[in-house]
Amino acid sequence: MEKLQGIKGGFLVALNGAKTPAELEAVRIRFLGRKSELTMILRSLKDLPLEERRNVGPRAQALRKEMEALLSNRLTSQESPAASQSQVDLSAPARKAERGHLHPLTLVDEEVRKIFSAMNFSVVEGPEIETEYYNFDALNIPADHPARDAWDTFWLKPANQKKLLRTHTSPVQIRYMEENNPPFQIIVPGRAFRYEATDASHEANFHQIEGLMVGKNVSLANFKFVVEEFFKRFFKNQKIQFRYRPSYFPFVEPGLEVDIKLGGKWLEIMGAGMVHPRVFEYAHYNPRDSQGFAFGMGIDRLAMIKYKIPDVRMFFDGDLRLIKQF
Amino acid sequence: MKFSYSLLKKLLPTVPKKTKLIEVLNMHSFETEDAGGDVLEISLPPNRYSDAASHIGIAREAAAILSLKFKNPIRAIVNLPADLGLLNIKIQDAKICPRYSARCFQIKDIKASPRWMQDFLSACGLKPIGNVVDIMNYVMLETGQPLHAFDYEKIGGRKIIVRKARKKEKIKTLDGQSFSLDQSVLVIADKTIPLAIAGIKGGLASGVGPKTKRIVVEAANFDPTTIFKTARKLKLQTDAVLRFSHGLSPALVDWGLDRATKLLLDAGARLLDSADAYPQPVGEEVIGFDQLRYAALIGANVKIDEARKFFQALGFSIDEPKNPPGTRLAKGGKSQKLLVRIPAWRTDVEEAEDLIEEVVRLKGYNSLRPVSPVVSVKPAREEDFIILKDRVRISLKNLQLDEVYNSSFVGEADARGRESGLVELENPIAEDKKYLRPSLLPLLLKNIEDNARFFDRVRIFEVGKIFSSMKSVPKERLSLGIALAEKDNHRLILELKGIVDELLKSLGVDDFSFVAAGEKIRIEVDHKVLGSLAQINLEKRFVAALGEFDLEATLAFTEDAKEYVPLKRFPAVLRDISVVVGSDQRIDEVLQEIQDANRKLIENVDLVDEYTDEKLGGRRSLTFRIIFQAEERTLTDEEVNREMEKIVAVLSGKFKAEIR
Repeated sequence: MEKLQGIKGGFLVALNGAKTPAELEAVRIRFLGRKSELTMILRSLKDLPLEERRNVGPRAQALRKEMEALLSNRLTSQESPAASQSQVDLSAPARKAERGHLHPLTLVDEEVRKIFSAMNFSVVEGPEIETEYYNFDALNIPADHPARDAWDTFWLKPANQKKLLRTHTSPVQIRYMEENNPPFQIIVPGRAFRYEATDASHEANFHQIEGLMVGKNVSLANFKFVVEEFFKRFFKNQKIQFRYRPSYFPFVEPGLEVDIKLGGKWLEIMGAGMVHPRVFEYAHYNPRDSQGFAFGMGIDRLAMIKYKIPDVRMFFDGDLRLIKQF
Repeated sequence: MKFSYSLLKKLLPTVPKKTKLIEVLNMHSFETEDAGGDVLEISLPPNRYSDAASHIGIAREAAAILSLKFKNPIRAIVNLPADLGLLNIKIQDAKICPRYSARCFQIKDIKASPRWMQDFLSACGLKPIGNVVDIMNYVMLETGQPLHAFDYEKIGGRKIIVRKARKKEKIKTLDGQSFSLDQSVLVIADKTIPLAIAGIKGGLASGVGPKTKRIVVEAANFDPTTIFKTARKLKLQTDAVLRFSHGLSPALVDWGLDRATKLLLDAGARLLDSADAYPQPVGEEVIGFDQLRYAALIGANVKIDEARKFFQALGFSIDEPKNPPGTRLAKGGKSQKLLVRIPAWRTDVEEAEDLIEEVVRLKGYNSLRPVSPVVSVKPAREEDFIILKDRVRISLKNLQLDEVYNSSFVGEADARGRESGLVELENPIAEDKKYLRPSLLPLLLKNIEDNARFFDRVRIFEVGKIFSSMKSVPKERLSLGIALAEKDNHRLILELKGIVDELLKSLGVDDFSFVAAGEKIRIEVDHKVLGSLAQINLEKRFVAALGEFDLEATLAFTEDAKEYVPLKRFPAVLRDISVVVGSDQRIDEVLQEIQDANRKLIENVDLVDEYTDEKLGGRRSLTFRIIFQAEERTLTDEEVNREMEKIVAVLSGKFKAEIR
């Protein structure tokens, strides 16, 4: 009984406080809705001993009727629903809703992974601190040779440990092949580092995606198929053309550069090639049994092209005016 | 490297227009740009300096691409006056100097070189100096072999010794710089003093001058690593260094000397003597080209005659074919092999794949038809950390946070308090970027300050590697940093606590607890610390709540398996209770005590109000909402009342709480 009194008290206070139709509706749900205390009581009547049911039942029913009546009085004393709706100026600006935003580099990374996953590529990662062996030697990049100068390197103290910040995601090729047997196809997203002055198109921190597909018969023609499928999906709804030029990376042979033409402009987008037999040897594969392709491209560059962002540094300064656009 | 279009045209008269040449070189050989005027800028790959860092090399490439006839202009000099005793060459270590060859000339006079030669030199970025030196440089441009001319009279004892420098040995180079050498430096010396730093720069004392009558022209070959390291150490970059440090073939020596001899004779010089120290002449390698192997690697066929034509155009020769034409192979296809003899100057061609590359690039990559690979249906997978990072990002985005990326580098100021375990860069780009970040928070805090100019409320996170050093072994760990900031919101840390609570639940981390410890809140599972939260005051009334998590530790506690919890069928009963407690009473203790009063019947306890005023004399009033619910029946008022009495008794007993 006390409880019914309590419900009524609470209802009256709430009803008094409700000013708008929406608030009245909230009061209805709270006190007369399916999950309201009163409905619970009415529903649980059947479980009560007969005597108690006779006692509580009618009172609860009466309370419900009374509350419904009070509510509908208040509703009719308000203007009619149609009229009240017309009070809202539908042309008024929206009430701002909030959502979070992922960084554009994350969005591009996700998109790249999604497309390659659809082509059955697995996704793996590797460490940002690397040894000279994985970053250079095992990739057939000789020490004390100008070829190594193509990768400007940050070295860590103490120098005698020869630890460095990886200059590309390619070391993961070796790390993965050491642990896995072909056939396989992987992509490797991750951060890499370049010892160089920063400008609109260069950052000491940058992000790459490496690709590696190895099997018995994986060919250069297969590479062309995979990258063209990838770019066609990545730049969907845009007219795209491809161009392949010879290039040189010590860990591939033949090596090539992929350009794409978007909006009438040729853009350098990817370095690639067939895995060099010596790289297979470093990974303890027999180069007679395995062949495959490898490629690498900049996530930052893809994002700059996709979203028309002019300066790579904008990715790294945490400016929410940029990030909230995505 | 700069090349002169007109010199290329001189060597290959049928060469197409400059724009066309640039296009075909780009598509089949090397990245090439029009550098204006007569000049082409060609980016040679580091393995092609031996054959292509020369106008002959580029002309040969162009001829091979376009199926043009190319005639090498080098004519071997016959009837050389050999070893008349004017020169005496000694190589101390043939590993670092595989070949040293020289010729001695009587010259007519020293004067300016002809206009055409000066023009070629200038186009390629070399300064015309005088006829002798210009011929040396011009021949280098044509053949790729660096040459050097000495004044014969300045060579003591008619001796040329290629040796390591002595400790503190001095030399003044042609450009007037003085160097004190050490034993790692290779020098060209006479019987007493160094005449030149081998492969790098000539000495001033032995240089050709206006009064020079007899000269020695040197063409040699040096170990690339030695030249590379010495040039670095002495900070001397010359055209010779560029070429030698990439590795040249000792075979180029003949071309260089023969060509220089021809030009010197044309200029009126007389050849007096020659000497050649070449202890172990390099041979030509023979590598097999296999049509089937080509088809397997490239994914398209090539006609054997087409391959032969490309090889010959590149100056390779073909030995007898291994199988007679038309041999049937097991797979039913016809395959032929070629035995390809690689000229010594193509130092880059070392294995079968290199030959395949020559054919495919000359055919052109663009004509290769894409072919879908055949892939096993074994499902691809993503590593656990990648999945975890994705889930963290999506959860935090759903909780209305924005993601930022920051640099991995920090300076002294941002590494404060962690000096001991920092990972330091040997070669930072700037003083404020000399450490690897030990935490994500300092730069997140900086993001907040930067964004506070534009936003009243900032909620950001970053997922990335942080670094620390243990016994000077650098280590990296995957970390999550969260930062909230708002003006005047002194309870912001509770909002962060709520975000973390939802985040961890969404990751399937169960049984974590928030442990208030001093100014911080630690998040623990199973006595393992996953992370901690803290709140600080910033400028301009901004309050920031910061949290950082070790995602590697968190990964171990994530569970994918979710299991349905039966919905409660019986009504819940709500009761509020207000208590007044001492000012330093921790809320979580009171809340826990209520919860523990009856773990079976109490479904949930929540703090719904908290305040303090003068009337309370510094104490705090806390209002809790308790939800009672039983699994198997409807609770009666009496039962709930009994439970409430128990709670009142416990709270007043334990916390001296006054019940209101």
